[in-house]
Amino acid sequence: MGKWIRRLIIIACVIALIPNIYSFFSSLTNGLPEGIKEKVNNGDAVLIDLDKKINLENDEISFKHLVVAEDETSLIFEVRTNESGWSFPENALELRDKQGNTYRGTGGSSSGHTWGRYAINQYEPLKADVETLVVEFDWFDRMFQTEFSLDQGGL
Amino acid sequence: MNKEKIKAIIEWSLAILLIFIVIKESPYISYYKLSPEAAFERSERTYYYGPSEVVENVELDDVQIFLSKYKDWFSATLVNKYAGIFWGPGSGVGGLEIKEDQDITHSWGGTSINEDYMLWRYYGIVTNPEISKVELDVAEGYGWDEQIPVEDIVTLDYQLKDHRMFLFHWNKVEDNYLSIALRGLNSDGEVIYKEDVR
Repeated sequence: MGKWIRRLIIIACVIALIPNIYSFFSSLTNGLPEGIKEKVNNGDAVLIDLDKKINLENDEISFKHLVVAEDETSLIFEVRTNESGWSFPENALELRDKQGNTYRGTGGSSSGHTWGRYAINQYEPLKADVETLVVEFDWFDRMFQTEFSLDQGGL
Repeated sequence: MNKEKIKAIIEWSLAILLIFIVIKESPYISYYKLSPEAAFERSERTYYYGPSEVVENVELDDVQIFLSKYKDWFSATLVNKYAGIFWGPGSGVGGLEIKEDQDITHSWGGTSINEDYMLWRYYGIVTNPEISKVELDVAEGYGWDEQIPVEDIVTLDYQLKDHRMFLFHWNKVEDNYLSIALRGLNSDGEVIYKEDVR
């Protein structure tokens, strides 16, 4: 009797943890999406590694890469959340440069994990001679701003 | 100790360890709360909004409406009941800006709770201090462009309290109301604000 109870508990727990197990393994192989990788390898896009973490309340926004192509600019970031709930409002991240140009968001995609979200935001192509990009989060009374240099990544 | 006993101890330890991990880590468990207030607070927190001041809590079947204010925003946020005991975030989180230059700022939203319950809410906040009562004219079963005879118009009313917010709600499956007009009345019952909301 006790044998079956404990085994049932173990099986039920493992089933409840399937998303966690999946997230764990997918984070081991966490690379760039194939489409972007191909573009970078073909020389159609420039990959700039970013390494900047911003704390937003109890969560952490971790900016990973900027992919600059002729037809679009992609900002790749992770949101590490402290508790589950609503997903991060990706379109509240605005992109502009120091010369005063703003870049409209043209799309994006994101995937949910047990630790948070992996997101790619797409914006209009950058103007010529841009040296520093500014990413701004503006959401109700929450806001932050961070800068990236296109020469060496994070400033 | 025999082999069976050792095996039982190992399996029980594993079972207990897994229960702890599930409670702490599993998205199925961590998504829900045992109280509607906790679910509401978490809903706002993970939306990067608030914490707002709850001015009124309306308890309905399997859903609660939190009328609330936060700085320059107001909201009528839902939390939903699951499996009879759990509470999780519902729609309407995040506020709308209170327009100080208008007498009344209002909004509406519809949320399907279950097959027989489509919760429709019409809510807002009153900035004109003269207004003491809000009325909403509705009519059942009409399209927005149809002529409505006066005798088919039903008037819902809400007596304003200190918090100055108001809420009308109905089940659209039972009452397929079309909102027609919103009015603000002063304490003498005179209409001092009128808006066609069709």
